[in-house]
Amino acid sequence: MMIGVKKIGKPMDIKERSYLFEIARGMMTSIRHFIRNVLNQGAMPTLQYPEEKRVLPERFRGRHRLMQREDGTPRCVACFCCQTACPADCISIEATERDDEGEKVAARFDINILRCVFCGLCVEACPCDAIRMDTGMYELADTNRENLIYDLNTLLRH
Amino acid sequence: MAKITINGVEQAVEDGLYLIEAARRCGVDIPHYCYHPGLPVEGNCRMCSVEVEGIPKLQTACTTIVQDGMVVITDSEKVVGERSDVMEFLLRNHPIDCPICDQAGECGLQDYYMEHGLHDSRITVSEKVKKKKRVDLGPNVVLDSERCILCTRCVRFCKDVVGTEELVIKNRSNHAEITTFPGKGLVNPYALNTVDICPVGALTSRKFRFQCRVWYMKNATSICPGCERGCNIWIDHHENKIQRLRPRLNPDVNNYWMCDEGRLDFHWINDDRVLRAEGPDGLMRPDEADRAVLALLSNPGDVLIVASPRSTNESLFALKRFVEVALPGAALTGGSFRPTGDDDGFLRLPDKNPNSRGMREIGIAGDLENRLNGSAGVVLVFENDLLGDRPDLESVLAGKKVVAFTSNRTATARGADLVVPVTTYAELNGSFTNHAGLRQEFRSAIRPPGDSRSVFDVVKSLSGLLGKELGWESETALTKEMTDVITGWGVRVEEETELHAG
Repeated sequence: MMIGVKKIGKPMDIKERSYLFEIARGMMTSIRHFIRNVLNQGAMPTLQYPEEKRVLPERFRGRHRLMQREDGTPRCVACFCCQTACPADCISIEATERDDEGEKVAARFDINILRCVFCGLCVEACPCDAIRMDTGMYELADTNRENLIYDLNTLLRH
Repeated sequence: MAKITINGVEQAVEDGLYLIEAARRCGVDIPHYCYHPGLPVEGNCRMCSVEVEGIPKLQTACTTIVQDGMVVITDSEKVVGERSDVMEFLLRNHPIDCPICDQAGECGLQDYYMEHGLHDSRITVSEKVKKKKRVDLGPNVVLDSERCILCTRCVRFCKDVVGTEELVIKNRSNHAEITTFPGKGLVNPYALNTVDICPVGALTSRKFRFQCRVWYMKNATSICPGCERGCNIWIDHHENKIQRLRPRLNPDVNNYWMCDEGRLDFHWINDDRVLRAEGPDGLMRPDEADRAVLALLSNPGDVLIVASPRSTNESLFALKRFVEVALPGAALTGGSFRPTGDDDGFLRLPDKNPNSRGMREIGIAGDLENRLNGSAGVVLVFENDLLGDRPDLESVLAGKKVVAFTSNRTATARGADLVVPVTTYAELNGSFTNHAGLRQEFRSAIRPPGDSRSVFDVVKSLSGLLGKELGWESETALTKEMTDVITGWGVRVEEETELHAG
């Protein structure tokens, strides 16, 4: 089937064809912001990152951490609820038996932060409040992919 | 036949059935914990209480035998209230540690609480009676006393099915718990069935404990290759690894049970597999391996092919055809030197190969020892660990070129000149024929690791290189011809109906 071309609207008049007025009209927004920022520099939204940093909201979801019990062992009981809830499949756990009372404990707890979408479902799923995302850490870049798979010890140390 | 009315619908059921079973056959599921169709009835959990017209008190459906004209109500306010109250009693001392409980996801308490309980607990955690969380009942079974609801399924299993009577309930009321007799353990060779029938997370398998959450696992129907009984099993797998084997109901073969030996014998499928073909010059691609095998087959009269009663019927049938069509003159023999066990009168049988009868009926001669001592210079060993079972054969095989088609790094593979990886039963669709002549089909559970191919694919490729046709497009065609040719092997109709698994 041929594609027809249909011209709509009225032809441009001389003012529009010269472009000058239209460009000036389009620049008005930029010029308005420019004048406002020059006159009131304190209210400028731009930050001089990384020297200056934004104040994070209270419930900001940053990098995960694992909580400890009073005796320093991980609170995590390796129930796999976070791994099950994770939509990005970034948590992998291996469970083992605790020596003392026969409870379950994580032998391995890896978070692949490259996959993480920071949705916080793992935190919601946890029955022991063992995993939190309240570290406020968001500068997680690295030159090496392996370093971005956080293990149990890294997550426990915050 | 007896006519009974369940919830207003009149149905005819067999005489002598327990009401719970009769109702199930009429499509009405009555919740239960202590009742198990494979065990004698006890009626202690009270969960199956129903109203029977003419009897003022609620009756337990698992102990009531149907009578003609019986009118039963299973969903009245009285019955529903009773169930909720029973749940509350059962959960009186339950620790509700579902996050660390292996049963979570397939737990009777979880399921029935959502269906029939949904009450708010009147007991705080500190009021609950604490019991031992980890008791080693035997080498394979661990007990968590807190979770137990004292249904005594495990006690009855040991008493009435195996007859060893290891388990018993000690103490009374809140302090009652399952235990073994002093100085004795739960050591019978069928002990892990108690873990299957435990409706809660009280009994757990030492090997499977904490390994995998049940909701991750997928299952495939399979047949246990541990002996010639051919117990029907489920293969539960996750991330292409087998996590556990469970018995699958087949009243003609194994009923609800399987032995621990068969149940725990799957680690060889997960570990220590041959992934690439190996020759004297190192690793090879599958096509290179096939050409290397071909180079040894130049004189068929000098070739001995050793089949195994551990192979599937399909593999053996393909192998036999391969010898007839592509390698006339080569000798084909079969057999196994696997040590035999005892017939214990329940499930385990002496022959530890799953398909000895299938091999015989396909027509592969069992004169393995004579043939090995013969003059053949090239031996192709299919899925048979000759040296592992009989180390003294090393001198016999010493002068010969040995090609091992094997799934694992067995002694035979280590001593072979050429190793070609093949699949295990868990990666194949196939069938075993058990000691009674019943051909039982099974489905592949996991993907073959590395370059592993089925024996069918290997011989198809080899005969292709030899310029010969086996005559089957697919394994389905092979199965069809095989079941047509061999008497009594007509395709067995798979029973899709969900049998009552307890």
